[in-house]
Amino acid sequence: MNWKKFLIHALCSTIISCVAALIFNSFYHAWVADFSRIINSVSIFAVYLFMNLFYSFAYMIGEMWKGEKSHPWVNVVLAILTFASIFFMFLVRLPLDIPNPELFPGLAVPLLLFPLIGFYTLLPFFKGMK
Amino acid sequence: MKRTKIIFGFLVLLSISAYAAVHSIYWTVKDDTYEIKFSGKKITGNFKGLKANIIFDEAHPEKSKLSGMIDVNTINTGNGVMNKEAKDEDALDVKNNGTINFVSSAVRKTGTGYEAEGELTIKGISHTIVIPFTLEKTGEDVTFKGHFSINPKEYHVDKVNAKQRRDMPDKINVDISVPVK
Repeated sequence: MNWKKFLIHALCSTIISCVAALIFNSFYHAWVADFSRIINSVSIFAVYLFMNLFYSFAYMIGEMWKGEKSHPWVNVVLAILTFASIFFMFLVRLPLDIPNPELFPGLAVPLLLFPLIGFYTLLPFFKGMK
Repeated sequence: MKRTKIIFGFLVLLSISAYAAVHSIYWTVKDDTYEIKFSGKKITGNFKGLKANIIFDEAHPEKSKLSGMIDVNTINTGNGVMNKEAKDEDALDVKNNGTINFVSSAVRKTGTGYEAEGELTIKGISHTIVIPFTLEKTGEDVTFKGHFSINPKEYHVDKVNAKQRRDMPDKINVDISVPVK
């Protein structure tokens, strides 16, 4: 089992999804609302690193189980988990001095999808790699 | 000519002192730094959108008159879904009752500060309440601070969450801090 492949995949995916997220966050900040006290470059990087390491770990377990044949099933599980996590964004309670909390899911929900998009985007580059 | 100047100067001094006396009774909310917070079991939040008329004389509190109006649409619980539900018909019913009002009928001095007795109106239902408050002075900064509790069910604010039918607690604490000038 080449764990380095999964680690590099997770790190590369973290970087590209962070870049996309920071661009989206800056536009949201400028045009819609400022939630920079909650969502900023540090929190985005930390959450994305955790999510991508989790995705890599899931693929690693899948490949240990059934090799690359496991990928479609791992994809389905990760997609379901990511979709379910979206609903938690509607339950988040922000500090009371932050106005317009109803606009928070508009930022947080798309951001939650970026790591999986980044991970899937890079997946073909790492397929078959030993 | 000299006598005219003296009379004019006297009149100016008189008008300045009259203004100072009036200003110490009539207060206006200083800026947006005021806080109107509420808290109860599983509920916290605040309101903005305060409009207040404050006539308060420390020397003669019985001559004072306090009134305030809060725009219910400005409620913030920190969660967008809860904000929307707080405005629903079973909760604060913003559609039919957009403001919360208080008008004092008597202001008294107490051992620890003052208290204002008056009508609190929520959802168009009025009850007499007593709000204990203090007047805190730090340099030139003056702040009215008060704390009281209400039973929201007395005002037919029955549900926290109209859809899930979660009951409102029997007691909501309200903390008010209003800087004035």
